[in-house]
Amino acid sequence: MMKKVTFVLFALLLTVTGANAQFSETMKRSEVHGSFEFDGYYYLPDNTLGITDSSINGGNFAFNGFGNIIYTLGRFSAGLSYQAYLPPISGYDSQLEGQGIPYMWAKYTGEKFTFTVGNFYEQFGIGLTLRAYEEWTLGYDNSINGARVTYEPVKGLMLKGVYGVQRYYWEKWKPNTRGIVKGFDAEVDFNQVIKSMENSKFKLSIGGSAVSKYQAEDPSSKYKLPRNVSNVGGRINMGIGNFIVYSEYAWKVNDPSAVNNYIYKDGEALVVTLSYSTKGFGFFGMFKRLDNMSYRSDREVTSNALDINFLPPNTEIHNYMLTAMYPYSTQPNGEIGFQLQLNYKIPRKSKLGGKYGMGISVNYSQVNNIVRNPPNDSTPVGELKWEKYTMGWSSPFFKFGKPVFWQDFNIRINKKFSKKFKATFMYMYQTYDKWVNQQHVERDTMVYANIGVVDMTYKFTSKSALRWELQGFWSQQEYGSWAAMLLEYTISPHWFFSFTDQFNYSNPATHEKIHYYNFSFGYTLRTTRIAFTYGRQREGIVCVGGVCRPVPASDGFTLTITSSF
Amino acid sequence: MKKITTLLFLIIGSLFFFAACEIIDPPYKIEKPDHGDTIPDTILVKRVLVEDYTGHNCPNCPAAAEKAEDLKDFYGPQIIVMAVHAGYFAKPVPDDPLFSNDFRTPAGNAWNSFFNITSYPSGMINRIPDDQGNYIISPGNWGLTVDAELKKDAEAKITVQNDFSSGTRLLRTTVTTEFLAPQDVAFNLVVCITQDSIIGGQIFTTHVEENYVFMNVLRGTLNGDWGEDVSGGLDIVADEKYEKTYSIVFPAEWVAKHCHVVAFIYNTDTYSILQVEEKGVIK
Repeated sequence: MMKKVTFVLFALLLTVTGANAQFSETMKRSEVHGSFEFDGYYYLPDNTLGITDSSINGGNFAFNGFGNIIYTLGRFSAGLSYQAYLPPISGYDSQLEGQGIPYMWAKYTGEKFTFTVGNFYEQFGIGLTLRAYEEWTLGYDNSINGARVTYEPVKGLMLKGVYGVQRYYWEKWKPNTRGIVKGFDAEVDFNQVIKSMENSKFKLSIGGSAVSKYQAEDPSSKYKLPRNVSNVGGRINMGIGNFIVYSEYAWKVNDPSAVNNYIYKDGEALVVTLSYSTKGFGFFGMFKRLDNMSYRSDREVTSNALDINFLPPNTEIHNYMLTAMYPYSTQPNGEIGFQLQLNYKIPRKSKLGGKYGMGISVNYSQVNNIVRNPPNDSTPVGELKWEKYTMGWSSPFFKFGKPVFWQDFNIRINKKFSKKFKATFMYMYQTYDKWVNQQHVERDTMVYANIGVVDMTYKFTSKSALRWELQGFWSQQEYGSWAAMLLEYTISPHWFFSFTDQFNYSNPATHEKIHYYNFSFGYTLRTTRIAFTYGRQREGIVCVGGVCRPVPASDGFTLTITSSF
Repeated sequence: MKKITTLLFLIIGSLFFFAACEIIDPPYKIEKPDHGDTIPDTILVKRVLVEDYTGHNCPNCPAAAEKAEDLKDFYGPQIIVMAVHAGYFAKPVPDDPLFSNDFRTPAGNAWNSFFNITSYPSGMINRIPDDQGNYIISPGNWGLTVDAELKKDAEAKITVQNDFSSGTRLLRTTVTTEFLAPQDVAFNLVVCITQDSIIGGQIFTTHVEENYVFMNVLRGTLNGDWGEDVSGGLDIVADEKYEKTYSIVFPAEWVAKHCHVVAFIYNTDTYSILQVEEKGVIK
């Protein structure tokens, strides 16, 4: 008996030791990575901005935060994202309020296959048929919850398939609510697939995708609604010497929705870009046309959610305070536009270039409405208004409509004067249809503005520098003219201190001539950054990639902590 | 070659599978049966309350109001709509005569806050929660929930009798509730006034409508935000008639000929509405 017990104990010990060794080995091969961001806001009453204790109504605190964790073990990886909006910072969609784990996934990467289950992001081409992505600064997340498979049978040929439902804030999917998305994409890179083209100067890849959504019919609808709506696209990417041409076209079948006012017209989108670059010179041109291309997994949703595809902007994205005051918002129901950009570096030791050379860039972009003609003899159509439950409009493909939604001409000069001092000078002329871009309701709200920026940096030592910006925004429309300045002192690699002020000095209403000042400082230690800000936020609009959210005016303290490991 | 052919089949097959679509040919309108305007008092049917939380500054709200009217058209008088103006978009705009209307009510504010409605338009269908306890339903899903709710049998009958004096502007309304089966939970009765055809400013996604016609606007309740116990605290028994009478003097801005009494009973444990009835103040 004693022998038996000893044997069992010995066997158990061996098993535990073996398991322990295996566990230690697994742990050694495992990797865990993560990133965190916490944005806390404390709102203060501000009579100048019309914010009172009663309008805050006890809601002084707001918090947006996330934590991403990714675990990897060889070919296997898994991850999750915790998110909290308690409540969301003002300007974020109130439907975000809540906390939990909206994003969880597991993935196996084989030699030719990858399998993902749970939540995932994906993009076909530039996204005209499908793009699932997340943009934290907008509070936007249209990730797909389902399954994703990729297959690369030969190097250079990639096949992808996705199937699932999209995230809609915190709302769990139920049958007969938002739709189910399925998509397939194939891309061939001929320079990899065909051996003789491996070293060719001519680069070619082509791709195609097909996406479909299924949403149950609303039994109370007085109109026939398609349950399955597909969106198919093709793309080509060619490189010849220093030239690169990319083109993508997508076509969507009848998709009546709240966004397009329930019309049965097909949709189409075309994006063509051409770029050329050589030492000291670069050119970029882009043409884009969208016609009824909103494509969402719920035909009734109009907020920033449930987009299946992505419609990229053809306008330059500006970062200076006053050049970014009126950002462009993509018009999915129809727009036609182009962008041209030239970059030139005046060589060193030339008359204009001086000791360090000088960079010049010129950019022009314009977006117009498409031309809308009546789809038949009996259905009227306006520039931005059309009849429900009809074919909507017909539109000649390359014709520019009269209303200009956006125009931006800007020229920028980058000049280094000495080892310690450099500057950027920028002039911009902007035309902006506020009504269209921000869904503001007053018509005739065109804003024309001349904007100037001087951005200078002086390095005191290799670790400390002062950057200051002076900006002017001159306009007769809406809020009138603005002046802005920034002072930012950096002590690398840890500290920064900054002060900004935007002054609406010529607002037609005297009580609206407001200084929007901000003080902030921050500390960075390796991958962790803590920043503290006090000041006013002016009312405006924030856009990323043509997707926008309004930001109401506010006053208060902000604490931001970001970290990764 | 065999490999390439297989791949081609795979790609083309996938394209067909993933590109499923339906082309809709005109006419787009579906001819629906006419349900008539009224259902005789003698016929007991399940009725559904569609609460549309809205505001005159909410650009997407007119589409939701239209959706509610579509439901009424489709299902007929079994649908009762109540437009509850509450929250951020319902605030009157100072110094703007077009948006000076204040359609908010204490009851609407209380419900808006209790059910945590923060985005508009939103709605509730008979205040039925989903599996996760959410009462709020976006307008796109109203139809499906209404359809499911109407498939249930009626479990109670409400009768409303109104007596309005145009001279004194006094409304006296008598609400009689009768359950088909005994109930082991308490039910509260809420009696509301709604008004149609109020003209005012409304923001749309594309423009401002200066003479927008507001329909089914909740004007107030006659017995508090949450009503009162329908049986006076006694056990509810089958076929017993529970009668309540309320009176109110109409304020000047309430136009009696456009007003309705909406009475509903709800389970005080779940807040879900068992039955609802609507009757014009003036026949």
